[in-house]
Amino acid sequence: MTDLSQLPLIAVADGIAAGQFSAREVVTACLARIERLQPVLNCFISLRADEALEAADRADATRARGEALGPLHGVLLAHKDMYYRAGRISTCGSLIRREFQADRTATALDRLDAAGALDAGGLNMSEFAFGPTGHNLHWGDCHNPWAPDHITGGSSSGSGSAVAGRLVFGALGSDTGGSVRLPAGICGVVGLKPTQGRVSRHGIMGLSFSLDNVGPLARTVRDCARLLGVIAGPDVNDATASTRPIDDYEQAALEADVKGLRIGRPTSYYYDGADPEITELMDKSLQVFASLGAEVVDVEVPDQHRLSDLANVVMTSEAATLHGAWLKERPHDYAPQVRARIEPGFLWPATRYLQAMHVRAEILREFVASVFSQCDLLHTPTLNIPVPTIAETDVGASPEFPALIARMTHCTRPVNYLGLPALAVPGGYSANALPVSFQLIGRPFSEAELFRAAAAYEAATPWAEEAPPL
Amino acid sequence: MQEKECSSLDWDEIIEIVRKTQGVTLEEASAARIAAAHMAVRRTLAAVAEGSVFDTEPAGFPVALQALARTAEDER
Repeated sequence: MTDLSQLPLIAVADGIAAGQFSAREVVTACLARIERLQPVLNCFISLRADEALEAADRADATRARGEALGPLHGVLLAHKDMYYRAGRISTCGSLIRREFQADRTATALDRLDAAGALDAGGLNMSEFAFGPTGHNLHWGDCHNPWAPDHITGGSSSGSGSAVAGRLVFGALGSDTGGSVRLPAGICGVVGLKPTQGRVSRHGIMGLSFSLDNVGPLARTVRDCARLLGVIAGPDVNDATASTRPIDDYEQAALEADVKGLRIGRPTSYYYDGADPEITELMDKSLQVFASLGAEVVDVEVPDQHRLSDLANVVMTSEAATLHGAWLKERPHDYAPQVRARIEPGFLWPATRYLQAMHVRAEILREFVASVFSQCDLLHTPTLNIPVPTIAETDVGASPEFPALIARMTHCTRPVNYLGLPALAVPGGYSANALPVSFQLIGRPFSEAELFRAAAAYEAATPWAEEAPPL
Repeated sequence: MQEKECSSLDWDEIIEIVRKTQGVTLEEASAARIAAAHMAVRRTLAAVAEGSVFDTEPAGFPVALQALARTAEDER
């Protein structure tokens, strides 16, 4: 009999709806896998196995009564441990919030619940979502299912590891500088940073409210599209959530077409310091797009270094505001690197922060006018070096850490300042047998276009079919 | 060891300002990173915000995102 944990999200939802198997059978298969692999991967901070089984039984009873089923009916998910659910503990990957009980439920979780999804528990993450590698001093490092001595990427480390490891069918992460795209790319799954404002942030831990995004991770492009379709849209509890109508993302993924699309390869910045092996794999992925009917064009991009500087002013100012009281009263409850990353925010004058915010629209206009006049989608590496080991990146707050952060987030951080949507897509493996990923960046609110193009690539390549050797 | 003269901001001064104004104690290595970041951002903003931002609005960014999205007409 098929191991139900190995199916993609859509196949599980369809199978439960059709009565091919029950939600309890699916959850039981996943829980068995979690029990076996949690000691290896450490992707859960809190597992709620009994609640998941009870919810599965309720889902099966709902189906037996012939009631209407949501698009995620009976599908087991789990989320970064910063999505609040009223009455439950959300640690935010920290010591400080070890016992924090939320008084509200995140809008994204409410919407997943309404669609019938089940929730297995809270997933590991970098402390307070600071950290692109997946290290965590308080809850233990998270491990990559493809090679457990290698990093998962962060900060949504558990989300990448649990989805890639086939422990759950999808997960929410958050992305302030690459925190969905890096673990998705490094663990070999699909991850989306939506347009700023596409998904409500109500009920999630804030890191930097101007740059934070809620984003889904899943095994396939269509899985990811279905998750976005459920969670996207306006929210009365989040005034920053866009009122723009949502597109049919799953339909776009089903169309899987790039004919006539101009896909841009940046001629500067994104390949600075790139490993030749990654460059070669990026070129191969572009050849696939070309073979499917896209036109691959070289594109000059405006200076991206300045975007990282400006994003840094915004992120640290906002983070220092949120963490100020704790950093004053209990600084040693933070990992030294996390503390060191927040501290610059205490010294920016308000005028610097506001300048960085006020020039954002103009820089976005300049980027869109320049880049998207030359191409429809920009194609870049997600991480332009092979996935490093946990030991190689365990630098703490040593003098090497700023360079490591800059290296890891080189390709992802500028996109957060621009607020644009970006989809990380598996693109093969490097010589160390770890996944390699590219990101497709589009115009504001072009998520459907990203899914349409990525699904065409996915259908032409074997990566989505391959599972880690666990 | 980095030279203190690497920027026009003095590390000890940074430590004092943050302690007095925010009540947070910094280590010297943090102060050095902050000094370097301030000088980098000063250069960046000098380039990208050299003119007046007097006519910008706080809502400018979400409005720009909406305005720059592809319209149905574009897609046709």
